[in-house]
Amino acid sequence: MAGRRCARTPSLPLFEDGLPCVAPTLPPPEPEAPGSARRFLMLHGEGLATPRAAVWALRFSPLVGLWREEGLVIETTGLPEPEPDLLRRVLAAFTAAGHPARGLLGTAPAALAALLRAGLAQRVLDPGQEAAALPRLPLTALALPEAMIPALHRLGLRDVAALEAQPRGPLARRFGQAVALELAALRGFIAPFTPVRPPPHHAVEQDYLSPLVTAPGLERAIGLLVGRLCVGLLGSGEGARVLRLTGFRGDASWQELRQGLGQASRDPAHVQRLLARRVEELRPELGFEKLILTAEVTEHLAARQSGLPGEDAAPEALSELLDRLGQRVRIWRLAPQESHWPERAVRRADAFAAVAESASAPRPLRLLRQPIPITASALLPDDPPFQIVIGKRIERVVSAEGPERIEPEWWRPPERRPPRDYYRVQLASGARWWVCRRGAVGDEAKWFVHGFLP
Amino acid sequence: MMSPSRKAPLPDLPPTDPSSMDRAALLAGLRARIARHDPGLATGRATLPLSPELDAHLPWSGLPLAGLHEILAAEPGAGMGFSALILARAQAALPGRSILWIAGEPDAYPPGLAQLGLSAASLILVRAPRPADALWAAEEGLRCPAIAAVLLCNAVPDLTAARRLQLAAETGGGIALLLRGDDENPGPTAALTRWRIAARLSAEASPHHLGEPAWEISLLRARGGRPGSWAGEWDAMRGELRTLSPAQSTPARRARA
Repeated sequence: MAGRRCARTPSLPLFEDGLPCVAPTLPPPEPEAPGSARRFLMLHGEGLATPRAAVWALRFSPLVGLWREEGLVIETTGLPEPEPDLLRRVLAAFTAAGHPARGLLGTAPAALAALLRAGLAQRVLDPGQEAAALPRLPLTALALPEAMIPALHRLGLRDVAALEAQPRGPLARRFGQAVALELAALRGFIAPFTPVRPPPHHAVEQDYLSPLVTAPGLERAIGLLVGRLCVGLLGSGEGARVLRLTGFRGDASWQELRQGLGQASRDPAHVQRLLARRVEELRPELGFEKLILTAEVTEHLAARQSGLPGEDAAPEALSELLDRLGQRVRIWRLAPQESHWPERAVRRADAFAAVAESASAPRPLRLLRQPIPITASALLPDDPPFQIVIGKRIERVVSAEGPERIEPEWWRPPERRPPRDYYRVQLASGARWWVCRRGAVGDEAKWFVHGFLP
Repeated sequence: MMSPSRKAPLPDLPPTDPSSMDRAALLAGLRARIARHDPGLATGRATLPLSPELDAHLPWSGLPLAGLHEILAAEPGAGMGFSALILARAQAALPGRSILWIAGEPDAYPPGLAQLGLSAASLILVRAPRPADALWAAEEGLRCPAIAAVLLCNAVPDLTAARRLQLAAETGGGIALLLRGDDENPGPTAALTRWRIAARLSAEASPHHLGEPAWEISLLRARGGRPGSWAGEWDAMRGELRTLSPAQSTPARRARA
């Protein structure tokens, strides 16, 4: 009965019985907190819009990009230095490096670029100033296609204020998307730029008052940087897979080391050993003024309790050893492969990968990379050899097993590879060889020793 | 007149009065002191079993881990076979550890190595064309607690380098094998043992059957032990090395010579 009393007709609105339908109240809009907007430094100058200059500018901020082949944009959001000081320092550094530049620090990169084109130089703009300066800008300062400017002028549109007053739809239909995009970019609604290097999650840097020249000094400086980087990695529960060390020299150039790790690690001793071994690749010449160490690629690395008795620290120890070995020599593992052809039955695998076991087979322990040519004599063409001449030595064969014929894999080039007949022979001295006849029985058959059996 | 400091006994020496000392205890103490100076002689270290006869002959009752051993291959297949056998034993004795195979052009072939019980899953090949790189890689590997064995092919380290390898092996606890070609006058060595492995006609060899791998195993030098010679045969079915005692194998050796 109760169910029937509560039944509703389908046409009854949901909120009609009971719950009132009231719009939620919104908090009043707050004035924008100062410094909450993104801040950019736009630089224009001769020869600045190159990746080389952009990487060099990474010393000021981790986010640096090229801006339309005319300048550099440096994101300065959150940098601790007061903005006027920062601007002065950056411009002085570019002048000292031989690339004098004009710079504006503000909110929208497109607006800053337009103001620079209009002739403004070396200012820090707050958002209000920037907004006030924009409407009076002539259209020639905007980054629009050159052919479009006269067309806009013919319509009587000479500055940004006039352009912004137009409805966007007809403008876009007539002049394409470029106008609408530029207007949005001017007001900072879109600010696309691609950083020259993806910003790392973990980076440490250090300026040096007296430039680093010697290897011991560099190693010590790297050790301190590594310690700080590893503290950061520990805090976020990550381990580094790829490290990049950038050293900025006094002569406006920089040098880099990129070091990969086989397994994520945040062990300062291990990371420092890897980097210290490669210090000799750096050429400080007049010395490094600044070093930046970044963990470019990181992986999750859970903390593990260590030091329990009887516990083996083998996994880290092995990967650290392989890291060190891989810096100086080539290392690999051998993985089995589905093939009867002896050279293809195993393939090289990454030293850090896990490989499967190979099945046991009557094969030599080492497969000679260059088989030794021999001359073999047999009673009948298909018989195993009874005598082998190797160099100037004549060996008598006591026992032989075979032949084991291995046909070439026809689906792989080169075509018409001759088949091989393998014999396992034992010489009078007791030596056991794995010998092979290559090619058909007859004149063109060639004999080789392909390996030594145990 | 003697100064009092001359009269005081040196703290490191045992008491000099033999009448009050048990002679056996004195000898044991001296042996322990010598062993402290030369870890190669210390008994009670971890060893690898080879075969009952060989183990009984060696002073450590087995082939000691944490040491450098030199193998002269009179015939490449036989020398490599004996080395692979030791590597396989080290793999079994220290599970979870890896094996480094260091050579100028490493050409290990896992299907063949599996016959002697050596699994390629933990085998890492190191290509070191320069001898200095090979020695460095061997030393780094031996120091690492994740390495069971290091095989160094065709390297002839001098005494200092060999001693460094021995010390590195004592640090890491793995076994170091130095496989090189046979030499009439191999020179001095810092290794614990030096073996010469030659091929030997298998006992059951017939024109159409090779029989089991057979080796002539000579122990040329063992620190604190005597040299010896055996005829060995690898029993693939049981996975063990069968050796005949030196006396039994001597006639065969004479006959061949």
